[in-house]
Amino acid sequence: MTVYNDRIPLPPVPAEKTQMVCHFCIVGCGYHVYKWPENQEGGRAPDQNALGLDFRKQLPPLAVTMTPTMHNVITGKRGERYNILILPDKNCVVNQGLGSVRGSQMASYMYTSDGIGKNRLLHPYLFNGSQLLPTNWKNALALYAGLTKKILDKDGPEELFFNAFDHGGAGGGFENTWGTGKLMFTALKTPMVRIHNRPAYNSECHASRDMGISELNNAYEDAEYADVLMCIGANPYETQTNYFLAHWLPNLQGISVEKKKIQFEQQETFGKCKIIVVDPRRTPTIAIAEQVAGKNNVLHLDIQPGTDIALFNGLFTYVVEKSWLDQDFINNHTVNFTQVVKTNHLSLEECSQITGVSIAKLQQAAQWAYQPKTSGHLPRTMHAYEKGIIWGNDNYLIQSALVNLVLATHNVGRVGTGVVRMGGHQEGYTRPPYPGNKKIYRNYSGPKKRRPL
Amino acid sequence: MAKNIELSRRRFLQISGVGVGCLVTNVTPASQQIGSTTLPYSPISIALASQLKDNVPATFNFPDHSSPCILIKFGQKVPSGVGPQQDIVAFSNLCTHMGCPLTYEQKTRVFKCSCHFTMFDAEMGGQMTCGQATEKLPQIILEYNSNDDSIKAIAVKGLIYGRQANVL
Repeated sequence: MTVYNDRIPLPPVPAEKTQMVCHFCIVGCGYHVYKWPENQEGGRAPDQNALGLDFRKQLPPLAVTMTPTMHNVITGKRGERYNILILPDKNCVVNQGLGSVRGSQMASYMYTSDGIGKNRLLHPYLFNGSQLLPTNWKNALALYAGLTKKILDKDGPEELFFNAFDHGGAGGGFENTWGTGKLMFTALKTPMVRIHNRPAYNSECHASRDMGISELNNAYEDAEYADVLMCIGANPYETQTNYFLAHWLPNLQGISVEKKKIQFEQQETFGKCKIIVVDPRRTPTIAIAEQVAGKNNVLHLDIQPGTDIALFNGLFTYVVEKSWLDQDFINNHTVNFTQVVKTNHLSLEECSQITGVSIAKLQQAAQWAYQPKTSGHLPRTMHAYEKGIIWGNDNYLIQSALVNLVLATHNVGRVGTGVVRMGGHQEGYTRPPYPGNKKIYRNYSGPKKRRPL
Repeated sequence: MAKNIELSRRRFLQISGVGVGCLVTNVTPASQQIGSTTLPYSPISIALASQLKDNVPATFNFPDHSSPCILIKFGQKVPSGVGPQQDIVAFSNLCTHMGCPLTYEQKTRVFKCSCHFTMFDAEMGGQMTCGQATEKLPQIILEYNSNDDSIKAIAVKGLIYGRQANVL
C-alpha cells in the first residue's frame, strides 16, 4: 500500500474462491470471497487475475464494485497470513452485483490486530464497581456457574432470566443459537428467555403466522410486478438497500413493464408503478422514489407514531364500504369476515383524526392500492413491512389489522403481491424446544412461584 | 530505442560471455537506490487560482485522460484546501461505489450519483453523507504556487473507481 491508499492487490488466478451470504441486514445478498497468500498478487491483464478483468485500462461504470474496504489481510490458525477480497456476486439473483454500504465492508470487519476489528472482545470482562474490568475465563466461569447454581438450587430454573442475542451473521447464526439454546432450554431448563429485540424467543410476526400466512410469502421479483408498492415502517433504500435497488427501482423507473406484459393476462391493464410509504418520518426512500417515479406516483402517509392499527382498520372499513374486495377469496380462504367488519369498524373521519393523515390522502391511498383497475382486475399491491410495525408492544395487533386488509383485497398469493418482511435469511435459526415443549406466548401459565418484590 | 539498448546489452553479454557479477557494476548499487512511497504520478498544471469563480466547478483529467476530475473553489477555507484562501479542492468525478459519473450540485455543495443515489460532501473532503459507497471521493492532492498563481495536480489520495492502482 502506498501513502495515498491508491492501490489494492488483485487476486491471482489460482486464488481460492468461495461463495458467501452477507452478514448484515435481512436481504441476503451474495458475495464472493477470494483468498490467497499475503505476499502474492495477480497481474492486471485479464488472464492474470482471478476476476478476469482488464485493469490495464479504466473499467467502465458498473463493471465491478471493488474498493479498499473489500480487502484485508487475515491470519490463519497456524499463523499463516492471507489476503482476502470480498466482492458482490454478479450472478446472485438477489443483489445482481450490487454492494451495499454494509456488505461492501465485510473484509474490513474481519479481525486483524491493527484493523477496525481490533476492538473485538477476546477475553471476558467483569462489571466491577462502575466499570468493566478484564478477567480470565476461570474466574468468569466460576462466577457465572456459581451464581446460576445458587438460583437453581434456591428458586428453580424459572427464576433464571436470559436476555440473549439470536441468529447472528450468516452461517454463524445456526451454531450460536443451537449452543445458547442447548444451554438455556436443555441444560438449565428455563423458559424465561427473550432475544435482542422482543419480549420472548419467538417470531416477530406471530400474528401473521397465527392467521395462516408466513411472513415470507412472495419472491423479491414480485416487487418488479406490483402495481403498487406499499412500504410500511421500512426505509429500504438505507436498510434493505439491494432489495430496493435491484427489485423496487426497476419497477418505479418503469423498466419492468416488459416483464409485466409477459406475466399478466392479456386484457389486464396496468399503469406506472406507484408507491405508498407509511412512516412518521420523511425518509431517503421517499426522496429517491419521488426522483425516479415522479412526485405524482409517491404518497407519504406520515402517520402519528403508534397509530398503525387505526390506519389499517380505517382503510379496511373504507374498502369494505366501496366493495373493493375479492369476495370469492374471502369466502374460500377466510373465516368470520362479517364479524371482522363489525369489530374493526373505523370511519375514515376517525382514522384521519387518530393518524393525523388527511381524509383525502387516505382515500388516495385506498384508490391506488385497492380500487379495481380499468380492466376490472384488482390492483396487485405488495405490502412490505419492517421494524416500524414488527418491533413494539402492539406488533401483534398491527399485523393482524394489516393482514385483514390484505386478505380482504386478495393481495397475497398472486404475482406482484404479498404481505411480507423486507427479507428473511436471518430467521434461519435453530434451537432446541422450550422445556416442556410449549410455546412461551401460548398456554404458558407463568412461573410457579414468585417472590414478592 | 529502449528495445535496441536491451538487445545490444544482451548481445554484449552473449559475445563477451561475462557473468551477472559484471552486469551489477553497470548499474547503481542497491544500497544507493531511492525508492518511492507513491505511485509514479506525472504532475500537471490545471488552473490559475485567480481565474476560478467561487462554487463554479472546473473539469480536468488526472492522472490520465480516462479519469475525469472536478476542481472547486469555495470562497471560504475548507479542510485540505489550497490557494490564497485555502478554499480550492479537487476530486475524482467517478462514484467510488460503481463508477457512475457524479453531478455537482452548487446549492448544496454536494456530489450526487444518479445510479444508486450516493452523495458526497464536497466541502468535507468528499466524505459520503448518504448512499452505498464505502470510500470517500478520491481527493486530488493539489499544490499551489504563489509565484505564478498556478495549481498543480500531483497525486490522488484514495483509489479511483475501476482501477487496481490509480496510475495505469
